[in-house]
Amino acid sequence: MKVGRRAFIGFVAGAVGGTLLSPLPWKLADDIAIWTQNWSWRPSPERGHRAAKKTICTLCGGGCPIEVDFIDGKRAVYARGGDWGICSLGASAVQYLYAPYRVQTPLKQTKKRGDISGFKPITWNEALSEITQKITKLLGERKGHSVACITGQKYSSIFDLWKQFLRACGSKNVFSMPDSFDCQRAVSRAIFGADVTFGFNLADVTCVLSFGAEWADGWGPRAPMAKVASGWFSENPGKPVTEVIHVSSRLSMSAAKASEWVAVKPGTEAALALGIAHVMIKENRFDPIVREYAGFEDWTDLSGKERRGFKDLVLKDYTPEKVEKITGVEAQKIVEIAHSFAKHPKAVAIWGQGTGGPRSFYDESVFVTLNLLKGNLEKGLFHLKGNVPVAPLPAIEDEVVETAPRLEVAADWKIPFGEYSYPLYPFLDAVASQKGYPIELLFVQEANPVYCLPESGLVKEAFSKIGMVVDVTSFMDETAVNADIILPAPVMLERWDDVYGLPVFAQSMYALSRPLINAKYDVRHPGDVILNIAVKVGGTVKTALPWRNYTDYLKFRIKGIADSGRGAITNRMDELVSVSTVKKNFGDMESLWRELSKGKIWFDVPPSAYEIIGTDNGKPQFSITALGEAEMKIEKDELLLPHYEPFVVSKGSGGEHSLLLMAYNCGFISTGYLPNSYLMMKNIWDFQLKGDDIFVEINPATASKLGFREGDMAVLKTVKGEARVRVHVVPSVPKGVIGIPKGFGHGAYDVFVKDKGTNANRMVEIHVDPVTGLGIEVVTGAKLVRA
Amino acid sequence: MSGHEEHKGGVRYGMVIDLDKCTGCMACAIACHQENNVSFRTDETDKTRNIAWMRFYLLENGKDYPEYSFAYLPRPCFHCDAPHHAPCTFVCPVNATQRDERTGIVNMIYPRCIGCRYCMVACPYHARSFNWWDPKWPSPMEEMLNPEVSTRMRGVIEKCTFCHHRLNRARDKARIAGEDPDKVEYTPACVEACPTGAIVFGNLLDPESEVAKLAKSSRAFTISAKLETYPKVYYLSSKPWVRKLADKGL
Ligand code: SF4
Ligand code: SF4
Ligand code: SF4
Repeated sequence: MKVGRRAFIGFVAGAVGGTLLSPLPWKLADDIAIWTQNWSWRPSPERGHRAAKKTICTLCGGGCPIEVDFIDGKRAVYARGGDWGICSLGASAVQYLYAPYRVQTPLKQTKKRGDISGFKPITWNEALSEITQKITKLLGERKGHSVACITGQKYSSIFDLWKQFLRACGSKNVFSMPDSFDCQRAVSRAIFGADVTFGFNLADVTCVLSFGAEWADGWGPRAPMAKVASGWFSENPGKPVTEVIHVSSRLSMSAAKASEWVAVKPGTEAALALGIAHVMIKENRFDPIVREYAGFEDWTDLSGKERRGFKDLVLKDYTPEKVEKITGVEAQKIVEIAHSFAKHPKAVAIWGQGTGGPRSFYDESVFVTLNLLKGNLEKGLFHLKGNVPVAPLPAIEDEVVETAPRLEVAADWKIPFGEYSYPLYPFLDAVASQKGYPIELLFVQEANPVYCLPESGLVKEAFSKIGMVVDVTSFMDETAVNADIILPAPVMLERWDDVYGLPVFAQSMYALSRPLINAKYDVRHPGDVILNIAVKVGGTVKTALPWRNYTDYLKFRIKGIADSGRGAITNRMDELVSVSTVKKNFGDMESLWRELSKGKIWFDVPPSAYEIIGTDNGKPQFSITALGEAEMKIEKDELLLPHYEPFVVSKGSGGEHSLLLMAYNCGFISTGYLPNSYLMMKNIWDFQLKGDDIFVEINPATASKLGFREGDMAVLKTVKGEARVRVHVVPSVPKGVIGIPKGFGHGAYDVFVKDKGTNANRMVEIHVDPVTGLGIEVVTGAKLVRA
Repeated sequence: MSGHEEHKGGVRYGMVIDLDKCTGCMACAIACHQENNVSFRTDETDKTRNIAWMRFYLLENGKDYPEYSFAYLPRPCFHCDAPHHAPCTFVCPVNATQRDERTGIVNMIYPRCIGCRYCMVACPYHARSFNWWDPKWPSPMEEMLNPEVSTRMRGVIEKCTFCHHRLNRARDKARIAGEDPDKVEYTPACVEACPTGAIVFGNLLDPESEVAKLAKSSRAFTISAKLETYPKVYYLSSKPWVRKLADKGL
C-alpha cells in the first residue's frame, strides 16, 4: 500500500495547507493525558426520543415542506427537507431558533439612536401604548400619511395586513424589500395590460436561455430551483439533457453549471437578447402569431403620430455587428446562440441580476419579447401567473379615511409605473432630502434595510430623518440597533404564517407554516402586533382590521381559497413545478386549514393567458402605449418599445474610478434578513473571507496591471465608500471588473458574524429606473489601490 | 480490483457524488454539521484548524476569462477500503479509529484517541479534523445538540462517520421488527439534504443498488486512485478537466 499526501494536495489546489504545517508544535505526552481526561465540561445533550414534525419553510418565501427533529418534542435539533431536499438557509432553521442574538423582550432606546447600550427592556403594554399614542397624535393632526412600513415578507398575507393598517391610518407608504421579481408587474402591465407576475414551466424545457438569472446562486427559491435544475442536467433515456445557456459578466456557479456560458460586458444582457431577436426575425424563425401583436410592425399612437415597430427597431438597430460592439460577444456567436434558441421546440428565456435585485423595465421587457417570439405563451412555457384566491381585505373608502399620495409622488417623482412596483429608493430619497412630507413613524418588519439595501449611506441618511422607528424583528440586527423601539417576533417554527412562494414557477401556490414549539421568549407575532395596535388606536383603524388575532386573519384568508373551489392540495412537490391539470380535493375552510397545517400545499395551474390579458385587442403588445397614456411626451420611438438602454456609471471626479465593482450573491451565503448561520460561516471559502478580511476578485490581467498578487491588502474606493480588502486573483471576472461577495461585514448580531469583512451594499451605487422607480444595481465605478 | 470487492455478499456502505449536478449550495455540510454536533468558532476561515466533516474543495480548469470554469467538490471521509486497513486506521497506535468490517465504515472512538494526530497525517484526503480547543456553544445553542452523537473534547480527532448512529438506529429498528439488521438501508444527513440529488448512498456490494450502478458508470472516478486507498466515495463527472484533476500529480 502506498500512501502519499502530495497528490491530493496537488489536486485540491488552494485547499487545507496540511496538518504538518500547523503552527502549533506537537504536544507532549503529559499534555495528551490531560486532553483525554477533559470530559466534564464537554456538553452532554439530554437524551430522549427523537421524532420529526412537519411544517413549511418560510425563510426565503419559497415555501418548501420541511421536517424538524425534536427530542421529546421539546428541543429542535435538526431540519430536513421533504423529497426536494433543503437549502443552506432552511437547514440552518434550528440555529436561528436558538441564536443568542434573538431579541427576548420589547426594548426601548433610551440614549442616542444607534447606541446599543441604550436599550432598556419595557413591557409589551408600554411599547404598544407608546406607539399607539404616536399614531393617535398623528391621526389627530391629520398626518396619518406620515406613517410608513417596510416589510421583509412580500410573499405572505402580512403584506396585505400592513397595507390595510396603513390605509386605515391614511397612508399608502407600504414598501417591501427588493428582489429579482419586483419589475415583473410593471412589465406585465405594459405588454399584457395585466398586473401580474410571470411563471415558467422550467421542468419541461429543452433549452434555457438565462440572462443573469443566477438560479444556483439565489435566484428564486433555492432548494426547488436546485431540484429543477438537476433535472436539466440528468441524462435519462428518452429525455435529452437540457441546453442551458447562461449570459452574464461574472462566472457564477450558475454560469459554471451551464452547458454554455456567454460572457457579456456588464449590464448589456438585453442588447444580446435583442441581437438574438434580430436573427430570429430576419431569418423568419419566430412564431408568426407575434405579427398580430400591436407594435410588432410600425404603428400609430393615439395622437396619430407614426411610430416605429419592434421589427423595424430590431432589424435596423440590433444587427449582430452592432450588438457585438455593445456586448463584446462576436457577431458569429450571436447568430449561433439565436439558432440554438430558435431550433429548440421548448426554449425559454429567463432573467435576473447577479446582484440580486430587479433589472430595468426595458431590460425585462426585452426578455419577455424573446418568449413571445418563441410562442411560449401558446406553448404553455411562459405564463402570466394566476392569483391565489385568498379573501381580499374589506375596502376602506376615501370618504371614510382620506389618504395622501405616497411620499415619492408628493415629492414630485414622476414614475409612470410606480403603481405596479414598490419604489423604495424614491421614497428613501424623499425622506433623506426632506421632500414631500416628513415620515413620523416607520415600521420595519422582519427586514434589515440598514444592512441589506444597496447604498447603505442613503438608507442611514433617511433613517436619521424619521421621527420614530419601530422594528418588529426576531434578531438584534443593524436595523434593530438603529430603531427606537424593538418588538421581538417569534421565529419560524414558533408561529403561524402563510406563504405564496416566489414567482418563478408557473403554478400559483399557497402554504401554511405552523408552530412546532412554544415561543422561547416574550415575543408576539408581527401580525398580532398590528392587530393589537389597531384595537388600541380604535375608530376606523380598529373596524378596518376586525380579526381577533393573526390566526383568525389567516383563516379568513384561507376561507377565500376554500370558497373559490379552485386548485388542489398536494404533498408532491413535482406537481408544483410541472403544469398538469388539477382536480379539487379539499372541502370547506376548516378542512382546508387542517390539511394545510399538516404541510400540504395548495396549488393551481396557471389560467390561460388570454383570460388575463387586458390590452385593447386582447393580445400582447410590443408598443408600450401605457407610457404614452401616462401623459409623458415621448419623442423617441424606441422609448415606446422594448429596447436596450445603456446605463451610466459614475466614475468620480476626473474618471478616477475607472474599474467596475460588481457585487455578487452565492447560493451558500445569506444576504437578506437572516445573517449567515453559525454553520454557514464554516463553509465560507478562505478566498472569500480570511480572519476579518474580505476578498475581492480581480482578473490576473488586472492584478498584473495594478501590481497585486494573491492575498495582497488593498483599499477599494467607490463614489459611495471605501474599504480595506484583500485581493483574490481569479479569472471569473473580466479585466477591469472587481467582484465582491454580498453577505459579509455585518455591524450587529454577535462575534460570529460581526465585523467579518465589508458590506458590499455600502460600496455600490443604485440607478433608479425611470419607468418603475425601482433601484437597479449593476456595477459601480471603483478603484483599487495598495493598502 | 477495488478493496471492497473482497467482501462479496456483505455490506459495504458507499457514496457517489455527481459533481455535474452539485450546485455547491453546501446544504449537505450544514445538515452534516448540525446532525453531528460539529462545533464552530468565531473564526472559521483558518481551514487548517477549523473542524469540518464535509469540506469543500475548489476545482478549476486553469483557463482564463471567459474560458475559465470551476466546480465544487464536497468531501466527506472516503471510508477507504484498502485491504486490512485504511491509511488512517493503520497508523493509530491505540485503535481509536477502526474499520467495522461488517459495514466498511471507518469509525472514531473518541475516548480512546490520545490526540497524536498520526491518522490526520496519514489521511491523504484531509478528512480528519483535530479539536484544538474544547467545543463551546454560545448559550442557548446547547439546546440544539443531538443526543445521538456525543460531542468531542479538546485533544481528539473527529471526522465523518457516514452518520453511523443513523445506521445503528436503523439496525435496532430492524432487530425489533425481526428483520435482518445487516440488510438495512439508511440515509446520512448530507444525502437527505441535497436538493439536486447529487449524493447517492447505499450498499456498494448490492449490484441492484443505485450507488453500485453509478460507481460503475463511465463517469465515475475516485480521488488519487493510484494511492490504492480504495475510497468508498466515488465522484461522477462528464467534464474531462474535472476527471483529469482527480489524478493530478500521480
Ligand atoms: S428554498 Fe427557501 S423555503 Fe426552501 S428550504 Fe430554502 S429558505 Fe426554506
Ligand atoms: S478518507 Fe482519510 S480518514 Fe477517511 S478512511 Fe480514508 S484515510 Fe481514513
Ligand atoms: S447539498 Fe448537494 S448540491 Fe448542495 S453542495 Fe451538497 S452535494 Fe452539492
